[in-house]
Amino acid sequence: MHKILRVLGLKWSENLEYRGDIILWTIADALVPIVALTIWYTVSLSSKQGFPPQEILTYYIFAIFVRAITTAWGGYFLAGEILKGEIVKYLVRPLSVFWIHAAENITVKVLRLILPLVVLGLILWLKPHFFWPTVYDPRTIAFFAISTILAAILLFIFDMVSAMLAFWLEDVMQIREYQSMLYEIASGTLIPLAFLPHFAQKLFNFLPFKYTLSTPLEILLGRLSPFEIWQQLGIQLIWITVCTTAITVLWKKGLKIYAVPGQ
Amino acid sequence: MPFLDNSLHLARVWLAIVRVSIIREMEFRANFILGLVRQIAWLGIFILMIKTVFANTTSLAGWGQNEVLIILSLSRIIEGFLNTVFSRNVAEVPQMIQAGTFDFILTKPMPAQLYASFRRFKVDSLANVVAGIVLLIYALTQLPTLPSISSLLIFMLVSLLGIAVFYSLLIIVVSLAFLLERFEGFYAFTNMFSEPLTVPFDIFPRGPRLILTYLLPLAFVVFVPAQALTHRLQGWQVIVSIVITSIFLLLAHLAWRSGIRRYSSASS
Repeated sequence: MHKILRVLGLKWSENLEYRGDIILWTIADALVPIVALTIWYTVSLSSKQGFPPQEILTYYIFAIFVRAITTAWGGYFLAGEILKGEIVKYLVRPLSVFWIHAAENITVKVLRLILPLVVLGLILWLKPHFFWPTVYDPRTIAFFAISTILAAILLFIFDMVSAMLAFWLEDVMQIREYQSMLYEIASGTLIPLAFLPHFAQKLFNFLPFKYTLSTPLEILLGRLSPFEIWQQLGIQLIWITVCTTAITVLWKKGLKIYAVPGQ
Repeated sequence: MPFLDNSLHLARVWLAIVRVSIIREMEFRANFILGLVRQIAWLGIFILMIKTVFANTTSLAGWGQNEVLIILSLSRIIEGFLNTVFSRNVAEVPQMIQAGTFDFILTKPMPAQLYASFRRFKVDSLANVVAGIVLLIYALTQLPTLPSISSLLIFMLVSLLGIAVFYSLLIIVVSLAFLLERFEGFYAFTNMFSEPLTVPFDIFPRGPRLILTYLLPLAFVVFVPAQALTHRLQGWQVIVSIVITSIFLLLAHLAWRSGIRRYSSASS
């Protein structure tokens, strides 16, 4: 625990140095949901079926925040470090490489989220008619918060699992591009999942991406019954367990066959 | 004529770059094919999105389904072209500045801005262009009237202007990297610039639309060419395009110059 706190502190000061970069990154990251918001908001104004404009607005404004809280980039760097042979430096350190990436992830997010959360709080307080009413229900908020945290853990771990492929495959970066493509469609960012044809919805239930974004948002909008909420939280936990097991196994197997020439 | 000689020399260098890039790319064939498939899959996702939109409504801010498909196809063609020729090269500049390897760009016997932008020809992005052209032809034949020859000519002119605007925007933003030193966010910026290109700008509220037309003139990259093909473009808009393009090319030049003056070569 002491070691983890120390790394958190180090990462904090490292990232604080580059706050300009972090602010720009945050703005750029919000853009996919903002463009999707304008499309679906325009649709909801002109169509009577589907969701009312207020619900679409709430969905996407919170989607921006859930994405900011859950986003993971450690896998990209870890894959690069495996390919270039740089992970050897972590093998002799007292703390596992996963904790180092987790510390980086958490500190950057805290830095990123301070300002946007204040803005969101102000809007929620001053303009309540913008939002779908369930946003103000304390029980819903509590479940939404739990589900969002689980979503963040899941996406971080899943991202690390896909990085492990770098032990075996040279084209891992290309595979990661597929991963981010699937994320945009199967998480419910480009199209809220409820709009999708039935078979696509069924298919995406079997991928982890839905549980990193759509699940917390559906809870927040009150679209799930109490039973379904527990069920979704359970699926999130199952995915976390599966991915954690996968990391442990792949990391051990990967290190066994891993060779770094010239180091 | 020194200017002409110089241009011919640069053109020869660029052709050599294209040749070397293709040879390099063919060394990693599996990666190349996976890349092509991914671009087609992205196009499929966007088509699914448009189909879903029009299952719920008949027009998106006055644009019909086939007209929105035209915007999508143009965004694929132009984005594919930009990525092939320069976007992805420019996207690598911040990393080079941070690591200090930008030194190698400066020491080449060629203007640094040109070499940094056209260093590699990313042939794998061409799948977008091909798929986009197929979709464009399909969508155009679905329209009640085909665009006339004059509107096609205007379309080509505004497309070229749009590409120049996009190039300028990228150079202006990447010049910030000289100031910030770490600018990993630039990678997200290239996404940010291409993200709104796939939709009709009429869906944006007035404020953002004006910003995207005059301050951050992304409207000229895909939307204005799409207006030219769908009988929406007015004469004065062509003139505005020319003026905006000139201003932004000049700004890009100034931004890059002042950026490079601050470059301190991180590692050496």
